[in-house]
Amino acid sequence: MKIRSPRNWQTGLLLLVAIGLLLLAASGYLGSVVKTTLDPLVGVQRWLSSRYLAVYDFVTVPRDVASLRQRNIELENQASQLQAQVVQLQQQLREAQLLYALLDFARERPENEYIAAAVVGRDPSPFLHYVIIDHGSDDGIRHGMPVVTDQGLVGRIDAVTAGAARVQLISDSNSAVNVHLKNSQTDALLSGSITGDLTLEMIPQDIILQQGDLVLSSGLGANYPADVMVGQLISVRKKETDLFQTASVQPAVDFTSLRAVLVIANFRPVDIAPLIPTPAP
Amino acid sequence: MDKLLAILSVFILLMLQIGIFSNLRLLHGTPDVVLVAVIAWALNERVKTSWIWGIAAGVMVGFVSALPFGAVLAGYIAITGFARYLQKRVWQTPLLAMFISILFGTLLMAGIAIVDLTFGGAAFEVQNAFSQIILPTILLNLMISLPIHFLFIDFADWAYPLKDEA
Repeated sequence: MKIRSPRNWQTGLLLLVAIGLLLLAASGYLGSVVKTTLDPLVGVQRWLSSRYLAVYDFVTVPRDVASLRQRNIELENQASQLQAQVVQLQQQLREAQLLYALLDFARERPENEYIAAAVVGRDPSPFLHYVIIDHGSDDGIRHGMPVVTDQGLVGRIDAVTAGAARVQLISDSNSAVNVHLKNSQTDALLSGSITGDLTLEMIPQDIILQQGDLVLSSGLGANYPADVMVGQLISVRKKETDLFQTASVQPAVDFTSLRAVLVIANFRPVDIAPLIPTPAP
Repeated sequence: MDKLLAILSVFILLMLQIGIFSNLRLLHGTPDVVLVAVIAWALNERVKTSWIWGIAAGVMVGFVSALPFGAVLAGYIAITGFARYLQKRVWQTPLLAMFISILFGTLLMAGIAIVDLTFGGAAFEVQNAFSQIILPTILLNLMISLPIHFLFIDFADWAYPLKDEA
């Protein structure tokens, strides 16, 4: 019988230990031992790594600052360019939305011919409510033509030059529009004021007015087309001693932020003054 | 050259007025940059074109505004004359002259508008006009008068430089 050498015993023993360790590790019994052993090593490694990175940064930062500053300038320039583009695009989007709204309004009323114009200024006097538009007689605009937006009635052309025109808003104190109250089925006179407030006048006392009643142009007097939205009734003032009741109207158009308008080119106001009888002397 | 500069300056100021300043509202009042500029220019002692500024402003504002042309022109000429008069009388206190002229000018232009509206048949309460339009306009004009005053002093120095005494 051949006696096995001590070297074979050592190898066998090592294999047994290795297999034992593997089995212990696989069954999870070695976890706490490994953790206890490795934690200090990881801490030391972390300390070494942080110190190394600190030294590395200290050595390399001057070069990086220069390149970072350069990069920062480039990015800032790019950001400002993009911001300018965003502002420009937002402006274009607003203009496009406005024009689309006007276009929709024009499509809904194919019987009218419209001339679109941008509002470029306001009357210098705070007592007057006029705006200046960038289209004039060269574009076919004439005195007296009604001006509207997609929201409603704006006013009418008061003065015209070759390239511009002045529009009297319905909120001007010298403006008067014949209107019709949709729900109450009655006519009234809408007049402006120096503060831009709209007032309904000449409403008979027996008419029952309601808040929210829609006010449309009636077309009487032939200065404005009929059935154009003017505003909404917000409050009524009724005194039994007065002949007529009056009411305040919230205009449909925001006159403070008018940007673009439509001039109704095929509407010509009729001068009915000669038809109005004058009292005999 | 002075006259051309005057017309060009008033034109630019009018563009600013109808494009920007007429949209700046305090209650229902708006600043009148053309009026303040005409006064600030007229209150400069060395300036020789103050009347040109007044007439140019009157013509241009009268053309753009719906107020009667003649009344606006006369108003601006009167305001220029008043500012020149004050410049000679209270020359040691230009800011005081500026404030008095602005008060006079704003009230005069408001008076012109009120008379025009009254003749046009517009119904309004003067008290309402005073509190809602005239007072805020005076306040706004006074607010913009200081920067315009100092700006126009520099402008006058540039347009009419002092000659060195030999």
